[in-house]
Amino acid sequence: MLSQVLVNGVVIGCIYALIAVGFTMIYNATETVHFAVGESVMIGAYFLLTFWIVWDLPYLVALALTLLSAGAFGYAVYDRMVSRPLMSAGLLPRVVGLMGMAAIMKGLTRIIWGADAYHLPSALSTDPVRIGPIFIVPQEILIVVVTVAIIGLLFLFFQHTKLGTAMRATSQSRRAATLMGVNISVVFAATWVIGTILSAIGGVLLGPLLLVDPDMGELGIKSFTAAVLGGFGSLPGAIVGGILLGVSENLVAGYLRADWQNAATFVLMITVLAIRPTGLFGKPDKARV
Amino acid sequence: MTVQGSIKGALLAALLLFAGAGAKFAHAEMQGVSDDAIKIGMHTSQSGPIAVFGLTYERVARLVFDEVNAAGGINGRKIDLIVEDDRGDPGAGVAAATKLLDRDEVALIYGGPYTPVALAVFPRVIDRGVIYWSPAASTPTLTDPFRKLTFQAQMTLDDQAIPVAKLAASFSPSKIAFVRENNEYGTITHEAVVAELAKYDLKIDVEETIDPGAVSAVAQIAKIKEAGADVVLHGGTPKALSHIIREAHKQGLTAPMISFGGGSSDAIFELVSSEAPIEYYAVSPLACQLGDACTAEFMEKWTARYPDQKPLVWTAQGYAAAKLFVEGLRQAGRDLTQEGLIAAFETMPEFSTSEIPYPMKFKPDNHRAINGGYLDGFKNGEHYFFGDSIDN
Repeated sequence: MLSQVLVNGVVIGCIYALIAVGFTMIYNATETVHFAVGESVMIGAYFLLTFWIVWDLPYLVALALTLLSAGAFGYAVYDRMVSRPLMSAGLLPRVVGLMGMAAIMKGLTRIIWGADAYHLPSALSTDPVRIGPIFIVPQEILIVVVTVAIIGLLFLFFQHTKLGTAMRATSQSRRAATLMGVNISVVFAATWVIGTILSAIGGVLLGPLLLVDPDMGELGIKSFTAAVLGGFGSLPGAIVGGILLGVSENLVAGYLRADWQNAATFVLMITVLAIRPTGLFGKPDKARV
Repeated sequence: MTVQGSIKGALLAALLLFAGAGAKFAHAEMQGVSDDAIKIGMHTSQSGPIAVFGLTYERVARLVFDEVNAAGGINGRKIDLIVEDDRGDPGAGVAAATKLLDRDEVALIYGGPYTPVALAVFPRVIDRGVIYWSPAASTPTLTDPFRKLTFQAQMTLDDQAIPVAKLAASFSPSKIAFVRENNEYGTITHEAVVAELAKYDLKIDVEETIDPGAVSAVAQIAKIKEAGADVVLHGGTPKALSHIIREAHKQGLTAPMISFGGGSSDAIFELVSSEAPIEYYAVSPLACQLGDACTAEFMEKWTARYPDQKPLVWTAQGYAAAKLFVEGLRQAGRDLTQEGLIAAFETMPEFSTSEIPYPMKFKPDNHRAINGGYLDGFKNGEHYFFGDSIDN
């Protein structure tokens, strides 16, 4: 049972990590705690459901449209409507603005798609594959592969592209980056677009393992926990935090009690923060100049 | 006019005045009732973990009440249905009912389906001397112990445990597992099924729980498989159940799964008939499979009103319950009081509808109208329906 529990923990942890990476990117660049990240996961699943199942488009076309729509949504709604108008207003108004946007998105989802839960099929075979004592379905393998691939691509993007370098520079010091000629508006827009696409990929990958409904964004809070656990603002921390969270949840359910699962998540976070207040990979706060 | 005639006239006038005042008093006794309308307040889950059920009960109530209104209403009054979202949250449910009673001044509360919400709301409603009439909630506590102001036109979880245990026993299991959700619904289903299994000298050997918002059931299924359970029972709602079913299929658990009514949803039936084809059954309150002859009238009306919405078995049950409710209102007559309405429901004759297997009947000492139900399910992709005789 241990291997089965561990593998499943890694699968779920990959989803948490993927969403937490987008969350962390947005925080680093814009200093905004993205409390609507779960709703971005939700719209990813709903977009795919609409394009693929309702409109009956080929899967890859539907997937491309889903990611494009998510990116456009991230730019138009999060960046232009919420984040940028509130940029000079401080952290709290932006957080409240995003929480409000999350509530609006849930409400609109109910109006557009209804509150019913939908079964989003997997594009892959649903027959389980047996690897020794472990059973796994192709969708779960896909989750791990896609997560690893995206993290690799993000690494290359941050290290080897001009925009990636600009985003890193902005996360270090917005003022210094501006003085060095970085177009902050472009960096913000790119961050919201990429962050929302990452969350939407989380929804696309997770949708076939859940029922799709307007409340599926509630798992956004888990990604927030993962980001805190890993060290707020640290991309490697978000990845490790997500996987650690997924594995620990499953271990608690498997070897202690399933109804302790949620409580254990927060016990783990509090324990880590008590020992290391900056999280696993976080650095102590430095005054930004 | 003679003196005698004057006295007679005065007495008659007094009598008429008294009668008028009396009639007015009787109307005033029941809030939410005017000359041309009766306000019915409904709390239901338009969002939250069981919105799929909450919405279906709201839609079917609107279907029946609108049809009644289009035909002239009940005893000259139209039904004015005011709905509040309880979000599947007990606190929100209490707030919804308080708003319905205080601000909208409804005549009675027509309750929603979620057990934890119903348990929180109904005591506050009946404490105000108002009827809590539930077409949807399955908690036995609503009508047991007997309460004068609560009515239930739904299969209770006690009743649902009967076919669940009967089918489980028919498999002659050596080990039974039970997965219950971490809430009152899960607890009540557990208690009910333990009592019913005892009648077959059976007990639950493997106990597992799951959070309604869980994203995986890998550990629960791994433990059930390791324990060698050959029947799995479930008391919970569709979201968490979908993980249980997917994991059972993935880990190759071949034991049949039997769920209480919370597991009877379109998304779940779609799942077990397509990508996770396990042997799966769920309680149904209907006399036949949804879509078969017993639901023909309902299906015709539902499809005409909601062409894009697939009904559940509970939608058809909600349709029958709403018809029963309307009939009770009709029998109470035009001079509505809480007492008169209670008496009308208690004394109305058996009410038969094609959708429900047995006639519905409230009694002066028992306010449960539906007793007994069947099972609906899938095995090897085939749809099965078990009526009175359960034989796997």
